[in-house]
Formats: sequence, structure tokens, C-alpha cells
Amino acid sequence: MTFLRVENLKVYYPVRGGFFRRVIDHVKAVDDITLDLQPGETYGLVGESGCGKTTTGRTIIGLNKATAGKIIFNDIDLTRLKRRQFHKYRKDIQMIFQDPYSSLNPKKRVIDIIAEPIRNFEKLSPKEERRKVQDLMEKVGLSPDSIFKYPHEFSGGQRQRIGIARALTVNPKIIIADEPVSALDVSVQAQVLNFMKDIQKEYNLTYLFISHDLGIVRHMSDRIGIMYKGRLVEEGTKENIFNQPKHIYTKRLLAAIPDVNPEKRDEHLLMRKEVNEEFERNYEKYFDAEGKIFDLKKISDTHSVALP
Amino acid sequence: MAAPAVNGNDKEIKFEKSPSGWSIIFRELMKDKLALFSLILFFAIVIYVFVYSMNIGPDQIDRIDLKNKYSPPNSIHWLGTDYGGRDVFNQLIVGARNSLTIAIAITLITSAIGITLGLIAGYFGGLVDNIIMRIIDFILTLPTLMIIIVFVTLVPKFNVLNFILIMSAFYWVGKARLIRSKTLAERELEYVAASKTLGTPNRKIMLFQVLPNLSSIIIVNMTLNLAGNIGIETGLSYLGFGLPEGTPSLGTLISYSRNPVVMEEKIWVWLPAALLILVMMLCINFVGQALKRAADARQRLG
Ligand SMILES: Nc1ncnc2c1ncn2[C@@H]1O[C@H](COP(=O)(O)OP(=O)(O)OP(=O)(O)O)[C@@H](O)[C@H]1O
Ligand SMILES: [Mg+2]
Repeated sequence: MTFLRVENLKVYYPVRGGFFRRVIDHVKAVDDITLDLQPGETYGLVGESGCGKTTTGRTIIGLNKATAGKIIFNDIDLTRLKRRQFHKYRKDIQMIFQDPYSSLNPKKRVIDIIAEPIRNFEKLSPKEERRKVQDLMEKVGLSPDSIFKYPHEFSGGQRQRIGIARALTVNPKIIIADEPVSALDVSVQAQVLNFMKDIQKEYNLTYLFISHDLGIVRHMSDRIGIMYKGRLVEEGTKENIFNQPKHIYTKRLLAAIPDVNPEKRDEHLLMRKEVNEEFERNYEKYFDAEGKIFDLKKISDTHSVALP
Repeated sequence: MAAPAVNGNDKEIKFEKSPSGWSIIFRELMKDKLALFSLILFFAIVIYVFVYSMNIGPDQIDRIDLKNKYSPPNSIHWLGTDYGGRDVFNQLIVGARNSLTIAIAITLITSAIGITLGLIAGYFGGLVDNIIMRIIDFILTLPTLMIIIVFVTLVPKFNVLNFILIMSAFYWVGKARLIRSKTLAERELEYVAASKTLGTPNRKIMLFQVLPNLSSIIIVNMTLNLAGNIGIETGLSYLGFGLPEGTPSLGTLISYSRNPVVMEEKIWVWLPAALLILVMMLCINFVGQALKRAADARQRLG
């Protein structure tokens, strides 16, 4: 049985233009990617800005329409479901949004924000509902007494916790976290990330962790997929990616991580230059004639790379 | 702020409650004394007009008394009489009621249509949006005022209801466009996406998530619209394309001043109506300004 499998997923955005606003072209935001999530793991999806990470996440949760391909959850293809049928699976896949400011409705009190999914999926009396919301607030480390406050009265980190509490209300199995800390202060990032790890154990959650920051992904993930121009270029366990990177793009990403050790800075710079040179030199080796990325090929049980 | 006190059974829990949108508006009004005074004065006028006009029968307005033509204000006719010896005060009250009824009804109807269609067009976009926008574009190209004037001349039995309907048929488009553009911006915010992933149906997202975020714009727009609609009604009546003679309105009273003799020597016929309009417009605008500030945190007084 597959838990969650994204199979040959393609998401194209139409580009409209001309006099009648006809579709004249497509942006291939996601162009044929396949990935598997195992129960309880954290899968880190990394890549530069605009490579299609958000689009992948939003398509899995049903916010975008898949152009082609399958999203199989518990042996059911979610892309084939009608809206009404999809409602059943909504609970199981939830999302933590990138921007803690716009992802909470500014006109709603915290209790209404966190109770929104409860009101959609279960019928609780107002009293039970309030109990549950207070419990959740406590769980995410916020004062249960502040449930009648508005989002703007909380800090960014606290708001992100409210967003996490909201996602947890319906006991999801999978949480898609789209750069959940990139809008936060560095000092708060670690706090929220560690907290996410804690609740992962407690709720037995599976994360699809989207980020452009390899350092954070290394901290969070069991397995990592490297995305480039809408495709996966390399996929493997954390060790595979960090210790034996095979694709030049992965190497380049790794080389771009700033080195905090000042003594090794020169060495690091040299390595970065080398990698960049190799990227220029061996471009044809890693990309086909049209500059496209090859399909993933297995090179070990856990490690795949896009090479011819 | 109340101190939190949680005990076992949650009967007497005091929560830190934060001010809701309404209390912000209330606070803003309390800070701005002019707006507060305007609001009270406006409601006083409205209530007085509606209550008092219930006691005035049609015969009291229409009764012609040629012996009392153009009598200046006295103890029987507080504001004197017009060319037919009819009591100006009674006409003023009933006229104000008619004008206010028309303005309020048009504001409510156009808002209801405009908000509904604007929300739907902005939220769903695509084909629905296209259809609604084409209808709006079409109505915008029509010479609205001319059609209303033609309509008024053609319809034999023209009354308050007709007037409201014909005006509403044209004046919702501006609202719909405003709401649509705000909804377009609002739906891109992540809380809408979040609501979708939490299983909230579109209809509920529109009404309970997006609409509250437009409420301040809607309130401000409706207030200023009310002033505008009073203006349109009186303007048309003044020009003779509004309500017929038998149905007094503020516009018809003012239109008596088109006669130079009345204009210069029988001031009591038209001046009270003109002043009443001025006062109401000013009141509405002062309140509207305060609401506008309440809607924008950066401009608030307190
Ligand atoms: N609604 C849209 N319409 C058209 N093109 C879009 C739309 N959303 C995204 N795109 C395009 O799709 C591509 C992938 O976008 P996506 O948001 O998935 O990138 P991302 O990897 O999440 O980037 P970032 O790290 O900046 O968030 C980009 O080239 C973007 O311009
Ligand atoms: Mg993104």
C-alpha cells in the first residue's frame, strides 16, 4: 500500500496574451516529478526560487489543479476525485503556510481561526469546542486565555504556532510545510522547527518540508529531493545528498551554503569556484541537448539522480 | 484588560478580549466629537421625519387654500405656505421622508446587488467574472441619466417605488466593480487558501472570511453613497424629472425657487428644504470621514 505517492505530476500554468487573452504558452511550474512519502518521515523538497516547490505542495493539497499525473493517497488517486469526494481526505492532508501574517484572517479571533476545521468536520458544542481550542493552544505553547485575541496581537512566531494548531485540529496524517519559518526571525526559526519535530513524534506526522534553505532541510529531513526547473535532479537520504552528491546542481547548492568557520573560508570559496567551473564545463553531461533535465535513475536503494 | 483566571469548571473564566471591529468604529466616533454630533443629529432628523410624517395625511399636504397664498411663517403655518396655500412645513417633512426613503432604499438595494455580484465575480474569477464584467461594462456605456429621464416622462404613474427601482437598476455597477477589485486582491491572501484546505465551502469563505475584510470599505462606501443618492434624487426632482407634484420631495420644494419672485421674496418656501439637505449631507460626510479613518489604522485618532 502506498501512503502518499506523487506520480508523474505535471502542473502547467497558462500564459495568456494577445487580443482575446487566449492561452499562448505554458509555464511548466512542475514538469513530471515522482516522489513517495513514507509514514512518519520528513521529506525535504529543496530548490531555488521559482523551481516549483510551492506549486507541488499546493497541488498535493488540492489548491492547484494537476495538468497531468497522479497523487495517490492510501491507494486512491486524489486528482480524479470530485470536490465532494475530496472532502473526506481533506482532514488527512493539511498545510502550514509560509506567511504567518496573511495566512490568518485578520478579522477573526484566534478561537474562530483554530475552530474553523472543527466546525467543518465535527459537530462539537461551543463548550467542547472551546476546550479543544484551549488544549491546542496549550500544546503549541501559547496561553489558552488568549483565544479571544486577534492575530495582529501575536508575534510572527506565535502566529505560526497558531497556524500549526489550526492544522493539527483535525488530526492530519500529512502536513505540507511550505517554508514555514522563512518569514520568521532567525532566533525564532529554531524554536518553531524544534517544536515541529516534537509534534511530529507526538502525532506521528509525515512532513513534506519545503524550503530553499539546505541548512534547515538538513536539520529537519530524513530524505531530500532536489528540485530544479520543475523537475527532480536528485533524491536520496540526508546522508546520500550531503555526503555523496552526484548531480552538479546539487553540488552547486551545497557549495552555496555559507561556511561559518572563518578559517575554512578561503577553502570554501575555492570549492565554490571549482563547482561553478565544473557546472559550466560539464553542462552537456548533466542536461540533454535542449537543456532539459534527465529522468531520475536509481544508483542505489535510496539514492537516485538525473543522469543520462 | 481583564486578568486571566482559569478555574476547574469554566463558568467564571475571564478572557482577555480584544476590541472587535465595531468597538473600533465606536471609539473613533467617540473621539471625533463633530462626527458623533453629526451622527446623533442625522438620526434625530431621520426619526423625527419618519415619526412626524405618519401623522400627516395626504389631505393635509394637498389642501389648497387660495386665501393663504404665500403667507409668511406664522403660528398656524410654521414655515408659511406656498403658491397654493399649502403648508410648507408639512411638505418639508413628507418631502424629507420621501427623499430619505428613496436614498436609503437605493443605497441598500445597490449595495446588496453590488456586493453579491462583486464578491462572486472577484472570488471565482474566470468565466463568471467575465460575464458579470461584460454586463457591468454594458450598463456603464449607457447614458444613465437620459434613460431615467425618458423613463420618468414615459411612465404615467410615477411614484417612490418606481423611482427607487429605476435608479437601483443602474447604480449598482460602481459598487460591484469596487467590491470585485477588493475581492480579487483579498482572495490571493493565504488565509483564503487556508480556509479551502480546512474544508470550508466557497460560499462560506466568501461570506464569513472575505466579506468581513471588506466591511470597512463597504460601510464607508455606503455612507458616502447615501449622501450622493440624496443628491441625485433632489437634483432630478429639481429639474422636474423626479417625483410628480402630488408627492413632495426636498427637490420639488427647492425647485420652487426657479421662480425669481419666490427666489427673492418668498424665501420660506425653498430655504428650509435647502438647509435641511445641506445639514444632512454635512452630517453624513462627517460621519463618513470618521468611519473612513476607523477603517484605516494609520489615520485613527485613538
Ligand atoms: N498563479 C500562477 N500563474 C502563473 N505562473 C505561476 C503561478 N504561480 C507560480 N507560477 C510560476 O511557476 C513557477 C514555480 O512557482 P512556485 O511558486 O512553485 O516556485 P517556488 O519553488 O515555490 O519558489 P519560491 O522559493 O520563490 O517560493 C514560477 O516560475 C512561477 O513564476
Ligand atoms: Mg514558494
